[in-house]
Amino acid sequence: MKPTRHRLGSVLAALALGFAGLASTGSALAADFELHGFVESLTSVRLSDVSGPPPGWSDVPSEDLPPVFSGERDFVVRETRVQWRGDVYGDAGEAHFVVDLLADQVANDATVAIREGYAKFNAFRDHLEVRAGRQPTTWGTGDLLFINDLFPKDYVSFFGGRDDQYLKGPSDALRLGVFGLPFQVDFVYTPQFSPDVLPNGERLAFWSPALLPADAPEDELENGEFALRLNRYVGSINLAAYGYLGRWKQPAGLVVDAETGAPSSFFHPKLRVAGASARGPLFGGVAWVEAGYYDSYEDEDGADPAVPNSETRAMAGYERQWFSDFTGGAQVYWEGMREHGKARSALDDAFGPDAFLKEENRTLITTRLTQRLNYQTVAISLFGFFSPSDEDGYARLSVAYDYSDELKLTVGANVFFGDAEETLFAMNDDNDNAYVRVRYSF
Amino acid sequence: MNRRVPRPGRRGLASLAGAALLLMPGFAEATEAEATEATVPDAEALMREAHLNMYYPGADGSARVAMTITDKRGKTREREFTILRRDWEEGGEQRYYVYFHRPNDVRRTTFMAWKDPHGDDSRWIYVPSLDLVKPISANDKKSSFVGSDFAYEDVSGRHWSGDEHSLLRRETLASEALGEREAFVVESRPKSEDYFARKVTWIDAETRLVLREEYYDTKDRELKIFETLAITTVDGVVTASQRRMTTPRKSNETLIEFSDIAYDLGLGESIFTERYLKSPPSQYVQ
Repeated sequence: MKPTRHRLGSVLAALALGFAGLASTGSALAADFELHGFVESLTSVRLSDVSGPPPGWSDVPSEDLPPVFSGERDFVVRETRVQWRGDVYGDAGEAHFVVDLLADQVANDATVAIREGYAKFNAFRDHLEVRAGRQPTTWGTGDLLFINDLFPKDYVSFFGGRDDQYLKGPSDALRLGVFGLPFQVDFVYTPQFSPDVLPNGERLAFWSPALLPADAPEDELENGEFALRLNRYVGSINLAAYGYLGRWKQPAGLVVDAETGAPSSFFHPKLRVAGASARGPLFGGVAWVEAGYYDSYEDEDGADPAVPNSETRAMAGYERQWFSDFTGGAQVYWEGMREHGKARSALDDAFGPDAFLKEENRTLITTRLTQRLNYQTVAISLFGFFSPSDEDGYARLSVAYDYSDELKLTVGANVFFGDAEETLFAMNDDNDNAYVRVRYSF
Repeated sequence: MNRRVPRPGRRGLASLAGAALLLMPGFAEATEAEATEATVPDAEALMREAHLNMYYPGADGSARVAMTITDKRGKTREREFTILRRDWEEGGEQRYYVYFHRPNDVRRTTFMAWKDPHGDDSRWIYVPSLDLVKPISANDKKSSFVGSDFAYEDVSGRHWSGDEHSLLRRETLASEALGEREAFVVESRPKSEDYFARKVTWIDAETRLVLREEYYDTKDRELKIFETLAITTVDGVVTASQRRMTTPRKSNETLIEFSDIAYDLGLGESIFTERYLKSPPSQYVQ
């Protein structure tokens, strides 16, 4: 999701007018209008030198290389953020908005991003809940692993040390909740496809067989996304079924020039997903299982080298509190390609035997450990990813200290490892960073 | 299992009009309790009654809660939340819904607990900025509730059936906040090993509320002290409207003050579901 960018000055003026307008509408609104937010400073320093662009980019002139590959980025993130959050509660409904004003010293610009802005109301005697506008949506059971949650993620923020809330990019969507049936129905329609935000060389290095642009799908009706969840509780156990119709959230397809056979750009191939999950209490903790089938239907027989294979993805996890204020959990995750053999030989024919193809079975283990201290004013946290199949991993470490109710200090690090160039965590090996975040909430 | 009509308050029977109420089970309970007061009260019956008065008043209830946590240096932290409760069974299952107003970095966060006194509770937290519903494991009832001296179990109440009780004496308890009050003193020991070895409870002879509770470890050192600092009658229900928990070893204390207390609101069952966890019912929480 690209943040909406405007000229800072004019937007600030508009915001000021807006707030003034809200304040002056009088008692009907003033009593139920809340305005809060935070000021945050974040500095995330790169811990390793970028070893240079991927080998396949040898013909890219140095002036066209993204900044991280020419050693111009000692900082992954250096920014000051002011977040305003407004909540309006009326008789007929509610409105919520979040506006981030960002002074970005890495990209050297100032931006305004509307992170949330939606109206919410109930209809049909509360059997229908409508949320219209820009909003985050999350579902599924995984802890930082997502199978049936195909809402946009911002991995640059996630890898770069920003607060967890920035992992979820907002969607401009219409969200309907239907209640009163034997199961609850959630339906999210996003008219314009919202891709994940991935490292692009501005802040974080990445691997790609060639430096090519990623094409966003045309802003047309047929390129919207539909997501559906049915869920219900049986006692304390939540059972859910999911459906998704849209596109791969990452530009995993290759546009190949029909005449020359040379790749010209990446694109988001069409995708539909069906899945299910269960989550509930087990042995004093919480356990969950989730699975989904990714039907990459632009390549039905799995033999198109330019479109990813269909995949089955599944995971299981468990978390419990082992001692007072100490929580530990683990997950196992698997994704299996449907036609690995066909995909391999198609790739061989098109790009040669050295062309990268992910493992037929990609496996992942995660662990989360959290210790809280001193009346929960200190939280020490480790989240580790390790992939046995890819032989790479990623550790997220942080110590957060609530100095007061308003002031919070967080120091942390994102450390990647792995020898390969092409796998998810290993390709981030040059992106190790340590950060300091200071936030004052008001 | 679900009680759909409000139960008369234990002491507030007179305030509830209507002869039909006399036919309800609550009436029988109340007269029973009054009968035992005149004779020698049974320790377990006393603890049960105090527990119901502290944690099950009305069929449901809501309150705005201001919590002040003071550390050994005198530094304070404040939490403010709205709490909604509905009882599914008197002394048994009940559900809680909590909406945080302060501190600002957790504002709009919600929390829900389905309390099952005879099994593990189920708890969920909702993080609005991520639109994330997260179940939290609930096996450790002595974990601090939002960083206060109150453990989860102190917020939702420790069920009387978990301990063996004996009546020690009847005495006058003097406190700065409530003056001199007649109280039954009950000693309780957990039936199975727990984080405390024994506790001593002072139960107000008049209101049958818990006035004071002291927890001791196996070496008979004081673990924590609970006190009721104010008693208010709302809708005919006597309520401990100010409560304090002190942890002497850490010189830390937490004060809880209830305001906007209301009972028997007819809170729907659906309030205590994931729907409203994600979409706070503004008529109750704003």
